[in-house]
Amino acid sequence: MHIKHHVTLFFTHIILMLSASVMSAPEQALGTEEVSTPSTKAKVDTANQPNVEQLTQQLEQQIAPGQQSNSVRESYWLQVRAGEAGRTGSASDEHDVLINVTAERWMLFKENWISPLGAIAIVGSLLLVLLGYIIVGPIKLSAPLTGRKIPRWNRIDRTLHWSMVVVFFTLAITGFTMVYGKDIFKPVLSAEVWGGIIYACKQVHNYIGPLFFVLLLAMLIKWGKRNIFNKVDSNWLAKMGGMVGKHKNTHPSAGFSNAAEKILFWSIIIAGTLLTVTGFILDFPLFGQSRNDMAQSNMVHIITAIMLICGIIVHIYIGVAGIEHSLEAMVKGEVDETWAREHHDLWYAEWEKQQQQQPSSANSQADPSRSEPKQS
Amino acid sequence: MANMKFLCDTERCIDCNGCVTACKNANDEALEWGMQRRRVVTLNDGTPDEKSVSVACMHCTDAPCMAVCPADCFERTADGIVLHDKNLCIGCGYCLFACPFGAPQFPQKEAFSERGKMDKCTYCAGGPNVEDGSKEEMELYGANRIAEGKLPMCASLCSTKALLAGDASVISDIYAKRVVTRGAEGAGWANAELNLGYDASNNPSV
Repeated sequence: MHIKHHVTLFFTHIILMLSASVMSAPEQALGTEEVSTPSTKAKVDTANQPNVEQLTQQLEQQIAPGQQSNSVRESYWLQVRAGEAGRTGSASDEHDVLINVTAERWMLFKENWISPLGAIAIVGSLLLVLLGYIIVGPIKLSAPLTGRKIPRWNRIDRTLHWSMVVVFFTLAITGFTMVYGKDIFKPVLSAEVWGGIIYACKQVHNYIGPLFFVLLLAMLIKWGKRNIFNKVDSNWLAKMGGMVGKHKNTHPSAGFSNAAEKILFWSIIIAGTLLTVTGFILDFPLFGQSRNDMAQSNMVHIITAIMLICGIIVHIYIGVAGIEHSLEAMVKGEVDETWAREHHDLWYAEWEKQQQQQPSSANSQADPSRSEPKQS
Repeated sequence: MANMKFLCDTERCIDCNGCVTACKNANDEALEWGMQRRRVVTLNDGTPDEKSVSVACMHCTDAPCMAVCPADCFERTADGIVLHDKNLCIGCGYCLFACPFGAPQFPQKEAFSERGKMDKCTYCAGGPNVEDGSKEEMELYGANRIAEGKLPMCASLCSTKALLAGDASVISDIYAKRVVTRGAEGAGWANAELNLGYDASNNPSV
């Protein structure tokens, strides 16, 4: 209970600090920070001049957005602060606005919060997976393999999956370099090498990005229907998939996909859509989108991408090590009868029923004459 | 070392765009057609409240562009001038999103409107990692007047001396003297009880 309470408290703190940092951004942009630094304060003769902090506060109250003034000078700077557009000879976008007061918010939020929290999330996911491997360990099959193979993913499915793997990794690695590369790689590389790498990262990221959308759409069309949630899934979730908790080592019923696989699928679809839309806004600055639109898109893009990377780390662990014999489903396209019966019993039952109904069209490897269990 | 800044006096700027022309002339070889590094923004145009300010890169002491650049191509010189390496710039646009002054601009000449290398005011100090005053520097970044011991062309040619360039303490003192000499009713703020007069003797950097 105590640990739970601390964890909740920790996250509440983070949320509070986050909101505080966002709200305090405009003040910092105006440079009031400088006025209230201790070193400057010490130099000011406090007997003759008003308290600096008090003065700053009074000024802040005076220049509240939308306030009217009789002074020409004051109203000019109030207009500037409100982001009012004027007239200029420059043809560039938004050049008629003297100061974009919200610009710094994005920079501070990204550099002070998203980059460090994102790094914690990615490293945390890797540690979580490692911890899962050590404490829970791989889920092994409870019965020996029968040697009878059941087709699970056909050639098109596997091509789609592994194409997505290549595209996803390309985007994740180039994206990661664009967020953390300057801190990790730049200090150990020469300027020429670093310049080449980071330029390649941006180009590859921008030109591979659209391919991600195409594959995402193909995924939705090919696998969308079988990932619709049903009653079986709520039971599966309630028992935590038989992986942890009091139902550990049981196998709750599941169809072709279990609830966790469906959650992963829809997470990829939703995150992928967000990434596509925001990426499009960032990639093609020719639809009149403002710099603030692009800054906000960038935030959504990075936060979504980091969450998706964390999810995929868990997906890779489950597929490669977490559940015994899972990887061969996507590599070879077939699974062992035992694996199917234990992890996807309803799908297995359906397949068996089909086999009985039309034994003539059965898969050659499932031919009864060749279905003798292999002796190991 | 110095801490070079620009300061534009709203009481003096007459929206003549001389600074824009001067900048364009000095840095012409580095500038794309139709792009200008400096601009004059006029609010309340044509009314008695009309005020103009000339603005370009303000060479921030804690520059947001520098903090946010994924390629880390910015550097702040010993004179406090923020320069960027065009050979490292990847054209992502982050500096444009982060800059309050709209200083970074991107020539768009590639396919799919892809951003080219960012361009901004260099304080007439050329660029990093190139030889001072070389042809390469001229073509990439424009003039390097700082290396010749001169101030930026825009401020040097300002007809009303509204646009000041130089060390922060020096130009803020010039501005303070102007305020004291010409008088400033309300000192820019409506509440006259607040004493906002600038006293140079309080500034430790003078």
